[in-house]
Amino acid sequence: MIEVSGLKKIYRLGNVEVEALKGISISIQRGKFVGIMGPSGSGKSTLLHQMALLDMPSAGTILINTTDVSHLSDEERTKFRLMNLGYVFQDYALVSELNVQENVALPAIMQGRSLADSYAAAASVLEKVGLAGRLNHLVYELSGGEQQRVSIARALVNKPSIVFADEPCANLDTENSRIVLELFRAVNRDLGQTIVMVSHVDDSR
Amino acid sequence: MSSTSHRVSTFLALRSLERGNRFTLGLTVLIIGLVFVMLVFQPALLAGIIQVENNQIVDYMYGNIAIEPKEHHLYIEDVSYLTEKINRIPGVVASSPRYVTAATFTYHDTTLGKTLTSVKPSDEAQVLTIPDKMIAGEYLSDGDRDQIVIGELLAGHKDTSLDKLKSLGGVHVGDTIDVTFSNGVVRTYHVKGIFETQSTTVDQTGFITTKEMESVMGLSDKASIVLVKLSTTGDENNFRTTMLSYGIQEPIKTWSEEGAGFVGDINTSFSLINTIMIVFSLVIGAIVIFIVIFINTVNKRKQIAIMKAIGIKKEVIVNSYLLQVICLCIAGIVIGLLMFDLIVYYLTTHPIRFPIGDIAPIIEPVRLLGSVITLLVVSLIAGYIPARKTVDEEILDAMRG
Repeated sequence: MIEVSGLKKIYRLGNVEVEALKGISISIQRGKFVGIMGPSGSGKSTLLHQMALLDMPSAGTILINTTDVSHLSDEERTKFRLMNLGYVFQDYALVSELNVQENVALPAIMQGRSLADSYAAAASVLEKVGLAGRLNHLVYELSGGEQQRVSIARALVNKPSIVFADEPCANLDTENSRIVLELFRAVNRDLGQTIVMVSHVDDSR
Repeated sequence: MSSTSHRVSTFLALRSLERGNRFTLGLTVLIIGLVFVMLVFQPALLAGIIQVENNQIVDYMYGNIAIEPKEHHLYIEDVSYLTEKINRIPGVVASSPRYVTAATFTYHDTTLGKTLTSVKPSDEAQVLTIPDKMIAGEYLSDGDRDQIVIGELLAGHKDTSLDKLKSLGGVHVGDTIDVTFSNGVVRTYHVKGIFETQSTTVDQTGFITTKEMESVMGLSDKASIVLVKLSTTGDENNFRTTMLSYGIQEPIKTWSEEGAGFVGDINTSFSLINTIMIVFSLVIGAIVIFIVIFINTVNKRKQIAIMKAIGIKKEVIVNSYLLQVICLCIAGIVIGLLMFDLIVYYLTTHPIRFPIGDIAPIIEPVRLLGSVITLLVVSLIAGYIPARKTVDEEILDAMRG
């Protein structure tokens, strides 16, 4: 599903070159729940950003579902992300002017689905993450854990091939971290959703 | 851009307007409204001034059309025959032949050289409205011989510091003044009346009857100019053709041609000031819109990056901001129009007293439409630049803040 070969990422800080990824090659199969762990500065988020098409690698190739995504144009990458990938970020990254249902429905509306269809899909996935009663709430009315569950629902609404999660529990307390991780496990187990998650601690404990 | 993209842009714009900061929103709309008022008020006021000037030319100086002597002639000959011919043309209300000459006015120790005009008062009253503008005494009658009426600026004040121009120093009705004609004849006249039209040119002249002028100058059935009053104003150019077809051979000039010399320069100056003020207003409007959208997008850098990350196209995000700008701008223009209408209504009922007369702003629909379009275009450009700049930022750079 994801084939990464010889992936390099070099950052330039003035005259200094920092090699964040030094020729990584990995393969992730469909339906897997893959965790990328390591200490801060080890390059795990950098690797996720390249695979998730949020950044351009300096060298190497990335194949997702047999598409070589490392040579797509900016517009093609945007469309590929919309149609094939889902994202969960550390700080939830929700749109403050949209309510819960609208936040989740946004990627579906952008895919060209009708407003009614998108809202129905959003309501359905929000029910699965336990937020059926919060559809019309605004983001600031939710707790951190609830916001992260909205973020997960948004990542899932278009039934993407892969969900990328960048330290999704970093801002949560222990209890909410447990709920979010359990949610990821359930999504992976019940829906067969491929998940690639970065964490600086072993969240599986 | 696809219909889906339009739909998402509209969706994001409406939600942002609906749930954004109400105070910022209201303030922005108010500022755009004030900018719009600045854009339209001054041109409207200048249009009012120009109309007053034009009315003064028609009402106090030339009527609608002026017939002048043929080239190299000092006077129009056979003027009674000419005026009969003119008065028969459909659309002509009346005509008034005038002698115009330079004369010296003396009152006590003060002597001034000014223009003296002779008229047949009954004709003049049908062509110009000076007889309605008497502030003291009465206008001339056809049979008057030793009477004169003079303008308020020529009469002046005993306290000369009150005079706008050099005057005779406070002439009153019933006083006598000596007039020295261009042929050297000196006559003494009783001041029958003083008029005030607020036209500087007219208010420093004097009028006597044509009979008196003819006796002094030894003239008969002649005129320096014939003024013609038409039933409608505005169609003078076409009427000139009609007059030519009736056999009028003397040069025919419209009031706007006669007035072009002294009003033209004033109008050109006003137009320049107008343009400068419009540019200032537009710059202020553009800066306000730029700042509002700039602050808005900078505050939402991260949010914009997230939207791009989850697959929202850049154009969709930029267009959502442009739609917001259009909505804010339209709301501002509506507020501005309401404020402008109120101002115009007030100033129409309470005109501003300018030295040239009472001025009320005039709404010109074409200019209003032009201002609406200009403000919209400038606002869109001012909104596009910061939105595009923020949206073009790399996703990860914007997300890191």
